Amino acid sequence: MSQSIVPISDAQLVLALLFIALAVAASLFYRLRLERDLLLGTLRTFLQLFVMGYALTFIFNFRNPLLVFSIYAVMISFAAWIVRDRIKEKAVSYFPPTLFSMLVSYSVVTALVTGVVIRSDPWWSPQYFIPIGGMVVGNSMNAIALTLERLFSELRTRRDEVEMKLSLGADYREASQDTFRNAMKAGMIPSINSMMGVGIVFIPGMMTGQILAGADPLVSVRYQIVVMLMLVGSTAISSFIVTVLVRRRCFGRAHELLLPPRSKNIS
Amino acid sequence: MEFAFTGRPPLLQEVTLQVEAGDFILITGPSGSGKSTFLRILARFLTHTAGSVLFHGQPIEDHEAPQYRRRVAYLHQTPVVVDDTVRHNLLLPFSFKANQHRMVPSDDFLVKTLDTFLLDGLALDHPAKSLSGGQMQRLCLMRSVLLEPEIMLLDEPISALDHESRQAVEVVMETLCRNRRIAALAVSHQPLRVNCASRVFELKGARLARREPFLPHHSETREVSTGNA
Repeated sequence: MSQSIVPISDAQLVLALLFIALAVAASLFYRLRLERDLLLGTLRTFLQLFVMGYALTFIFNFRNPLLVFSIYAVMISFAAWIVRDRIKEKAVSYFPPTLFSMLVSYSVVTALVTGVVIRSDPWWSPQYFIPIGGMVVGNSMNAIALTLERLFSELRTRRDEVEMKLSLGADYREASQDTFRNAMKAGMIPSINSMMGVGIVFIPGMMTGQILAGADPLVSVRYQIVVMLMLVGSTAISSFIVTVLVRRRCFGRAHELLLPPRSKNIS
Repeated sequence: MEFAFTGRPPLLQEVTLQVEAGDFILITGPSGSGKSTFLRILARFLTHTAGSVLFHGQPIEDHEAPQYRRRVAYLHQTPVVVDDTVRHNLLLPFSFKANQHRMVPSDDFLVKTLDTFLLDGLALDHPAKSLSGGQMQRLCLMRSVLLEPEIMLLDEPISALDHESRQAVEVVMETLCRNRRIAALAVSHQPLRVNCASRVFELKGARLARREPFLPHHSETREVSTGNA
């Protein structure tokens, strides 16, 4: 049961700008000073999405897997940069392991979904690989940022406990075992929570998009289930790899904690 | 041995010290003089920037860190316990790989040892976080001693305690010092009333200076020495 999609004309698109006009009016009336941001945001939405639309039309015609993987690698690199900007940790170099864990986990999960679950032909077909990969990168990037934030903040706040255990003969793994668990949990919980609320609290964006585009809701549901499960998988794998690699970098050769305390109190 | 934080003037310069079995060495000095830094270097939480630190004649870097730290126990300025029972805290180190070859002490042994640390009457199931500062400090001392270290590094062991608790910790330290073959290196900006201190030093202007004449004390084996290579 697939209906033909109702196209949105240029005039209808312009009509949608009425919503922004309403928001601008509210901003002016209540002196929120959000007019500039609203206009800039609208302009960027139009520009970025049209550029992406043309880019995707262009990319979907690729017949060379290397080109598809290169595009994917660029997407992952951008995501890793975004995580880097968000964490801002100076004492430990976490960018290379972050990029590595993203490349490994996201590529494996995306390839499994397109090749084994959806069985697109070929498995790297850009029409499937790029949008599904994009969803994995976009959602799991957040998981990596949460994992790293928790890892660094807990190692700092629990510094005395970590050093106490090290002083009693623990190696760095034993001394930071609880922090390791908590960091992994922090990364994984949002994707698990979204599995709890999906279909009751919210209708996922991808499914909404497919239904609006005329797809059978039951087909969309199957796609959405695959997407939810793959996000849990990718957050689990990426959180695990990044925690293992970055935790090692938080400790020196003598298993000493390299993260300095927030307020230095050295006598 | 020397040490400086990156981009800062040296905090420790030409520091030479030899610790022998049974020694009780006290290092005094004003706040910020580098006393704690010195202990943290010996505990391998920081690395000296020049010279050498030897343990049994070998550079400390050559020893496996977890094994080394079991033999050279470091005690924090503020006692650190995990949120669990007294028993769990005392047995925690025995779950670490470096200590797994050691026999886990029985409850009877723990209760007897609690007496030695002036913690008699304390139930093993008592929550460790609800102990007083002085009790926690003695519990931490006992936890380290259970691993039979060769040297104990005590960072301001009494500074965070009230008068009564201080006396109790001082008594425990003196008992340890007299009855066991453990060497101790304590830093404190307050006077420590431990009568068996074999040597007292003052850390001032980045240098370590002997403050009182050497009191004869039993000593046999060379344990740790720091000096310029």
